Amino acid sequence: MSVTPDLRDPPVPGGDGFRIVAPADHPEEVPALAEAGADEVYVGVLPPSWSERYGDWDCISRRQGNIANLASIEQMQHVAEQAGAAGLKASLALNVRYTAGQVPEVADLAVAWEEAGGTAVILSSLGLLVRLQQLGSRLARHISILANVTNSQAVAFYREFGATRVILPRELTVAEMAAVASMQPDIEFEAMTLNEKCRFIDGLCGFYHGTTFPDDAASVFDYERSGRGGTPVVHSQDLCYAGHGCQVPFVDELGRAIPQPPRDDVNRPACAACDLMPLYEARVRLLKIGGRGLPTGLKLRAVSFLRRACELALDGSDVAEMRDHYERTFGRSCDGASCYYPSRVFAGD
Amino acid sequence: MEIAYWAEGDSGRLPDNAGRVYWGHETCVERLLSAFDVDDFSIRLRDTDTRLTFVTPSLTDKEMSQVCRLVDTFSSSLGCFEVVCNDWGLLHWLTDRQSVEPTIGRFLVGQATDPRLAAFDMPDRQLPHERTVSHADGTLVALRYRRPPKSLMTHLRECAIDIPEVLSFLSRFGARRLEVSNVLQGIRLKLARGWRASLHLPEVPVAVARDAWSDEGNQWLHPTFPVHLHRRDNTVFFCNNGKQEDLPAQGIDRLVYRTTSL
Repeated sequence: MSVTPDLRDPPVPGGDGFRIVAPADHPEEVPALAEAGADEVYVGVLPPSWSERYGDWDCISRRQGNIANLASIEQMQHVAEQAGAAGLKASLALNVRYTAGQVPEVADLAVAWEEAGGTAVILSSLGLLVRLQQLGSRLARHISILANVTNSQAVAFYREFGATRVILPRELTVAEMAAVASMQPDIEFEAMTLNEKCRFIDGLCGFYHGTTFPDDAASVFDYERSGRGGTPVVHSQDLCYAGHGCQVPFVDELGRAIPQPPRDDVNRPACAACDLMPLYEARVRLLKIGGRGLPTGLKLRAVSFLRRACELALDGSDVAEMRDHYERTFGRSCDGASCYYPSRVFAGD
Repeated sequence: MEIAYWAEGDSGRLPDNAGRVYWGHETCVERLLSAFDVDDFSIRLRDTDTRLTFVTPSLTDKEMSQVCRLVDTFSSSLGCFEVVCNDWGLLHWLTDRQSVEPTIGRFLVGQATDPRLAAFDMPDRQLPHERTVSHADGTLVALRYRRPPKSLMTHLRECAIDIPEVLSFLSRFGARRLEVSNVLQGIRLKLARGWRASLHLPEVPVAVARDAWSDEGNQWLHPTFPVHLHRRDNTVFFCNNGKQEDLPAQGIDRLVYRTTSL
């Protein structure tokens, strides 16, 4: 007989219920995300001083431009304040691997984040981990999905740098996650549960993320205007950019299209709702929503969906009920291709 | 300069006159574990006085135990040999294995591998240098090429691993060598004293999928890429035979060739 754990009063000693970790791109979004049911928020920042030196591609937080990154240190500080006021933990994504010259600048951002009340950093850079130790930072260290931590020995490796949480790669099965978590009882584990599934493994993907034009977010670019009111100008170091590597329409040597999986569809997002209980039993308690850069309304919808999904799981709902919740929320039925951790059989699909 | 070659595919065929061979898989443990008889391979290495660098991918816990058994098999048969770790967990596990010399694999060193990054500084690939585009809301904007700042191109040639404090930390695990790719934009390594690097030619891995492709083309072509990509197993690569400058000054004392990549 299987027993459904009570998420409000978890049976695992020292365990907690689920907590939803949501993306934010503006300080104003934070109270709304809290109201919708988020327990934590995470953000990226791309200050002008960085983009002047390195450009606006994804070399600070794996997301490009100011659509998916806060535009200034002041905005970042404002997010930390808003999160504190709303009672949310807040983490800053400084999650890529930095070269020696970049580490001090990134560490300064982390210090500013901590001073403003931010509670954690998401990271994969050994250089940054070492630097934060040297600085005596008390920020919690969340090891990014980009660190590709796929086994318990790797968790032990990062513990030597003070890691307190590991965000597990989305390519692992729930059983593989359980194997990792079972060996590391004093580490928190987080997993992707909604949005942004990709065919490539995050920590092993070198395709860069750049800004694609045309774009639907006219206001976030740093325009240069002539004095005569001419067409605004945006500068780029890559006018050829045709999209992320998973989106480029490659052809083979005979000109035939290389099949690529469908792009992430906000109206049929990748989802792990049916696997909430197995994730819980695997000691994965932090449920991450992808989607930095998505419009606020879609983020709020995602948080509300996942909060309700947690309640359904708590009530012992079956897969059919969860799929019905998905369809009612997103307007389209769930399919096997949308499943984040496709370990179950979809009868009739 | 030491020259090493990848032992060919699943047969483990040894290249002629190779003093050192790389054998294993960087991205797929199933390819690794389904290979030929390791005991037989060890005998051939011993008989030909060929040194082994055993290459391993990222691993789950279950895969880790399987690979660790292979490490122990090689260890009892060969004595001292190298293990390329593309997983910090394996490096952690190897700490107490005295006969193993761990090296830091290409997926851990933090090189920028998208070939389009090199094209940032190729004005002839960015033509026309200005074009008008429209946002989805109808706003027209002139998109204009700006040559990247020197700081960006310098950054793109560097690795994230050659930070003195990081190398010092990794030394505690017995590592003294790292593996790098022949990236299109060039390499700028600054290794601490006692560290050495191996440069792999000509393939540069760009991206890895969880599963191998079944029936897709080998070549991946697109006009915005300065080079052709190809895929093998679960990985997308490009090839670069261009020469890097000042290899010894950068601590690169070994070239690793894969001769049958296409």
